[in-house]
Amino acid sequence: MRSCRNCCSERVGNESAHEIANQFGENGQNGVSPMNLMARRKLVVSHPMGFHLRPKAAFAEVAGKFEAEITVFWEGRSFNGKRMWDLMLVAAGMGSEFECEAQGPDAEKALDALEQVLAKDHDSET
Amino acid sequence: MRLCEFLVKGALVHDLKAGTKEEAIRALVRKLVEAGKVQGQDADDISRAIMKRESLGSTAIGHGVAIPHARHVSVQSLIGTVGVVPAGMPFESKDGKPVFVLVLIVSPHDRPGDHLRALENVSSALRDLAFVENLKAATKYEELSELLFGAGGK
Repeated sequence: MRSCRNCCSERVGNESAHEIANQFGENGQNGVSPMNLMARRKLVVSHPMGFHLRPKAAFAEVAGKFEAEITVFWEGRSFNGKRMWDLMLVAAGMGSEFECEAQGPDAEKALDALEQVLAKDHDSET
Repeated sequence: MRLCEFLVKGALVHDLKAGTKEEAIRALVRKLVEAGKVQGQDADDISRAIMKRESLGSTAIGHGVAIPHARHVSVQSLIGTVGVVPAGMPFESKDGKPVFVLVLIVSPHDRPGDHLRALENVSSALRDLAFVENLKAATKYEELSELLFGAGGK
């Protein structure tokens, strides 16, 4: 159990989420992009158990580390990617794709990090 | 999948008394046994599986709600129950706040889609803070049951 070097000193429940966010740089500190930078990407759910509770929690945690607003589009609806209660509504099974949009100075970095969250193997537990 | 489609009515607890997460989980699994949805011989193993999942990260998701869950070979379809802890209890939630409503879910190994739909439905129902407050305020089993199953159910 470690502390996140950039964002907080409290007990970190999901190390991987922090590591991913740290790796890509948070809050756009290194970015030179304009504030209104927008990026959109199709993300694929690769885990056999689908987009279950643990990746949802990691997704919200990583998304929250970026300045960009994160929106997930699923089955014709849009959800705030930083809110666990919103992501709970995204019942995306293995092999599903959903669109993810980031708007802000660190938009591309945010999507890179979120893509890694979905690619990461959260093992067989849900 | 609506809440009332997988919650076991006879296993609801409006006044769950538990000092620890494990006590709460064991008590709710015991209610599923009493309701005839889980074999008594499987109760320990199911409780252990849920605690193992909790060890990977608390299932408390905010609003005073937690969703302890596990997959288990002994169930043929997804089942669940709700336990309300009126005074709240620690659940290692990220926000450090107590949990008042536990939605315990046990699902078959081979039905991940059902599990995702159940999570979706828990969120649909319990993102309504007024509804959560109503669950917390239920002083009788019948009140809790009516909230979850009555008038079309949630």
